[in-house]
Amino acid sequence: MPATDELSRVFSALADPTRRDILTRLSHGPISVGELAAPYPISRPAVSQHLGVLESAGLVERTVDAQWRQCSICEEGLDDASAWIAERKAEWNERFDLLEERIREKRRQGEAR
Amino acid sequence: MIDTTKGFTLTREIDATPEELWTAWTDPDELAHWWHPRGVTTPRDSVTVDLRVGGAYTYTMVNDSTGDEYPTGGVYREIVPTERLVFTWGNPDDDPDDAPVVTVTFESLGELTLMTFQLQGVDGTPGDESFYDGWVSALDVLVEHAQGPHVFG
Repeated sequence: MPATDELSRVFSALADPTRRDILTRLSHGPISVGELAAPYPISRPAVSQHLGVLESAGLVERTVDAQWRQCSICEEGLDDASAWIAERKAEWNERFDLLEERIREKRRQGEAR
Repeated sequence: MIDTTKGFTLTREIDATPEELWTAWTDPDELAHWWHPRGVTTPRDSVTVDLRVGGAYTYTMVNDSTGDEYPTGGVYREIVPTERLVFTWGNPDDDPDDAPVVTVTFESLGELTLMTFQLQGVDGTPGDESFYDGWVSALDVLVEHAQGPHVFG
């Protein structure tokens, strides 16, 4: 079952360690773009590019507050994707329930013979 | 909070031998019984299994109430009978190199068998920062997000 385009964007956005780190830091609260970029050994434009990817996936919001460019996390972007993952896990657990039922059934058939 | 090393793993102790589980995972007659969520059926004639490295499998899940069909398939990557099975899992028409990889292992615990199921990176090589490797890391992030305390916002 393929992901919807929106979910694919979320997963692609998360498939990068710098972007995951950015999200982790933003989960503690909004930060200015400068503060966010400071620890990374990459250029400011490269950080901006990562933010752009996170923003188009609906995971991050950039706002201009007076002279500050603030970044914050968008919880809803993660909610849809985590629901999707929870469904995948639940589906496999249902398969394993059926697998156990099938093995019990086969054992009963074996005993009945 | 964000762990980049773990995969999406499910484990279960099952009252069966590794041999019984191996048959359940590799015999098309058995797969048709269980390789689908509840509310969905896998018709036996939709299941094909070419159990060798590089061989393909396919099956089609059919939604019991709507009749919607979900063709699924992939290619076997590693086959160690009764111990370890690695295969890609996705749409049968997609390039298997772009599909998520399932690794399932069986370890005898005496009467029970520990079955470990993992969905992981391309070609089963986690740690190379490939798309699906990140995808799988993302799964853990998201599951923690779903289960953990409400820290955002």
